[in-house]
Amino acid sequence: MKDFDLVIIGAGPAGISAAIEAADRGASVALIDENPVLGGKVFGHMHYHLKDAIPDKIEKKIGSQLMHRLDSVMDSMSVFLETEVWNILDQWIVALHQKGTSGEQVRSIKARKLIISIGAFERIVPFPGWTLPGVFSVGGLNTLAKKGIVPGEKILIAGNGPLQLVLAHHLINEGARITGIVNAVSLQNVAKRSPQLFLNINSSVLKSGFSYLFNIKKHRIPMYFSHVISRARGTNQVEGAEIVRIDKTSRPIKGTEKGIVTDCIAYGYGLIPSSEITRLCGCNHIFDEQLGYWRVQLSERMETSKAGIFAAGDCRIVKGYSAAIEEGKIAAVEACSQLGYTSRKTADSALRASLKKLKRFKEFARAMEILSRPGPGLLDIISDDTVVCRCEEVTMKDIRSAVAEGAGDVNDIKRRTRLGMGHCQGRFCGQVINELIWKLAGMPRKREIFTPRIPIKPVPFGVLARQ
Amino acid sequence: MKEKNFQRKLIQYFEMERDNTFEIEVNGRKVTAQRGQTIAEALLANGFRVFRRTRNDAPRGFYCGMGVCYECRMIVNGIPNVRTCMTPATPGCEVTTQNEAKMKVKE
Repeated sequence: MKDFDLVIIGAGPAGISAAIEAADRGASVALIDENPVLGGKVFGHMHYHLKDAIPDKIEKKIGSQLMHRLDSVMDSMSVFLETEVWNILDQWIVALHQKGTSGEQVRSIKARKLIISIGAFERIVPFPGWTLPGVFSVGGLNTLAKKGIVPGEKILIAGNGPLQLVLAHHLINEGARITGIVNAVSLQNVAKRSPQLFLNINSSVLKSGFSYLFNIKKHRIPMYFSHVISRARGTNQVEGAEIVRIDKTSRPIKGTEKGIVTDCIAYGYGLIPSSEITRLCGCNHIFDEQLGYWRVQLSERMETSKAGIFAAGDCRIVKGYSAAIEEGKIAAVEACSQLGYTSRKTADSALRASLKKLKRFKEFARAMEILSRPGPGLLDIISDDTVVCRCEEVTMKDIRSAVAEGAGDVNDIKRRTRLGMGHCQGRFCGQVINELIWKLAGMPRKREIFTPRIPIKPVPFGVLARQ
Repeated sequence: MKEKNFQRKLIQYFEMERDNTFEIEVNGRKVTAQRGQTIAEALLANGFRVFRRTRNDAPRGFYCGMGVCYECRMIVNGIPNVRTCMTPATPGCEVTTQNEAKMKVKE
């Protein structure tokens, strides 16, 4: 089994930044990612010169700087692409599932320190019709737009969060027609949070934010505030949508429904951290009531409650790529100083600027995430025929009858309905199931989260058996 | 300096035009893909939406775009459950809609 000082899981902005800092200090580094290229979802597309792709200027600048620095140390590290981590054993044996052209195989590597930087994914609230082809997550459509692909004629952007504006900007640049941007947030709420946003915003974010808004204004795209999407229509794919006005608790107001002509919907309420690997390792997590998601507890230097395991980037709190780059650096420098590659004093002085920068990113991100989080009343849009668990096709009606039969907690629902047992392993339905049970049972109970099970990502039995 | 930039752009342009596209086969139909595209991207660029049908025959397509939701699974070169959003399109690869109602369970 190969031995590494530092194994970094996830080669997005945080992982790459960590790999650069660690390799610079002489540590042996393994960088693992399940994608065929480095860079994650923010910078991954930059490897290609696709015909129709129009790059985002600021993103391109920061991304090429990072990639350039990585290139200079790349030879000294091991990079595993198209490789998933499916298990982590004690004292950090990392079980890998490798794919790619040379065939599939499983193998293990040993890590003295571990940095987990697996990013985030879409926050959702199911709505009728959200499983139809043509309903994309905002992040998913954004990755397409960045590679020059516009999969619809009339695009509706719904949900909440900063990524909506980014997506609208990218789509406009690609010449797409956007029929509307539907925001759950009310303008009053935006005004209320704007001091916190503006005091902590960094100049490049401010610049890109304004350019996005300007672009949307210039193309006269209708913006609906205090509205949510309540239905997607169609048989084989999206043929239309319905939006509805919401009140202060995000409860839909009857009689305000409005039909929208669309064939492509992007939907999401911001992002939530991927915590499955840190949870599998047994690190402490807390539910952040303000942000509305589980997050791993970290020291100031990004170390989790398990010594030797670090977390960096959006898999801790969603903050975007600039903050992720700083966090990756902090985690790697701290790990290197623990391993003895650099003295504590030099590490401290190297990190002073990063730690200071991070504070402002944190405040800004917190305000953004609080704005993106929908209120509890939004669960009212989930009708009985709405699919809540996409993988196992468990509907609201199934959950209702399971609760009526006496199912009282998340794992009980799982046993009765198979909710959360499909391919995505509860990553989407797990976000709303607690609240749904509380709503149906009529009382709040202890908040729970699915226990992470191995393999974290599906591995074919045949591949395991060959070993 | 300006001249050099222009030259570089020109080279980039010709490189892009030169042999960057190839064909893949989707449900027996030939479809053009670009180098650097994943299978899912090539399909969406060509107007395909339905990637998979569930056990209850519900249509599903590309959703999260980053390998989390597993909705874009298709049969690629005979291997089922391949996430097309993570798999690069390669010349001549054969992609089939995954119909889970009809998929046989191997004994």
